[in-house]
Amino acid sequence: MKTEIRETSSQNTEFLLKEANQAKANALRRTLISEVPSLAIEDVKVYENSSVLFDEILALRLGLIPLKTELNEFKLPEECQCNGEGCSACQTTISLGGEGENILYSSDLQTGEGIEVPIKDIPIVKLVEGQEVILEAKAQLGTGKKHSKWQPVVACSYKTYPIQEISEQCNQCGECVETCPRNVYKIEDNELKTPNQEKCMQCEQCVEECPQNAITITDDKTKYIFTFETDQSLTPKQILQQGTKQIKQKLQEFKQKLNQQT
Amino acid sequence: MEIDVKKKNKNEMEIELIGEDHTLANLLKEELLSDSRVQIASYNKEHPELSNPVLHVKTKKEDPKEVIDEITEDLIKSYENLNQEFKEINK
Ligand code: SF4
Ligand code: SF4
Ligand SMILES: [Zn+2]
Repeated sequence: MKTEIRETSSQNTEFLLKEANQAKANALRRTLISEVPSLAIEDVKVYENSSVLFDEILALRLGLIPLKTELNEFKLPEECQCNGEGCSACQTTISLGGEGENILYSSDLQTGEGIEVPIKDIPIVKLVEGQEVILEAKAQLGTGKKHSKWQPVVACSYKTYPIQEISEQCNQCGECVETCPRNVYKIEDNELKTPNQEKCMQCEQCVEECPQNAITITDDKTKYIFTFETDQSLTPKQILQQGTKQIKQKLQEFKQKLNQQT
Repeated sequence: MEIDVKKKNKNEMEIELIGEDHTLANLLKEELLSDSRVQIASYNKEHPELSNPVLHVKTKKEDPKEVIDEITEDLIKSYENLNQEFKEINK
């Protein structure tokens, strides 16, 4: 498989996966969503909560706040030498405290060294005069398979590479240019061109509207346009490298076990 | 991950992929199906949450283990390549 990177920012990524097939693209998509670990709050000890939110709701809101993750600094609890009981190799402590009248934001979280909250303006709870929150939380690595709070990607998807085939029947009437919701077509020098070929969503509206029946919509099943956003806990590069590494390791393990057992 | 070879004979094999889900099972199945030596490749996951996928492979005459082994090796190479390519990303 090969790739062509189209766009990467700290949040959005788009790339073309080439020489692939649907199974390979889907294995990558599923791994990014459910198996690449990230850091999130798991246990919360509430010392004081006189806000309007129940402890459970407060804990859920805390869990969903993205935390910047250095994957080599933490171990998954189930792979840690403490057997998941919790130690400094698999956990970090985060605390939160405040009283009204005030709104507590994600930026108010007191994190340990090296832990950063990338999105600072997430409101956690609004406190009025006399209300108070004091709590201590443990954050640990986990995967999206267990809970979506550990999912580093959002809106992770791909589509096959769309192709608009235009036959010689075309008389450049321009109907398709008008009707296409994605502005795929353009008439230039008396010729129908497809400058926005990749934007096509295969709705086939152009096929229906074309008076000459000149358009066929197909796709190239070896190419996939892949997009995802991150929650900023990991960078797109970290996510993609970790994801491909994990599929590779899993396959290697499978191969090794297969050879051992037969 | 662990596997359990549930059945193996001359041209047929059934392997339970313990603790795995559709990700690996579907990938192996599809790649096996695209190999001309393979007659049947499928997997079954009896319960969506509680059971492991069981991969079933039947070849025309070759040793199924060899075929699975080769295909897995190809897949490892593909994802290794991809991993290398993603090193180029700057963010
Ligand atoms: S609608 Fe059909 S005939 Fe008209 S420009 Fe488009 S392809 Fe050509
Ligand atoms: S299938 Fe839809 S999106 Fe694609 S070119 Fe035709 S009208 Fe545009
Ligand atoms: Zn530990």
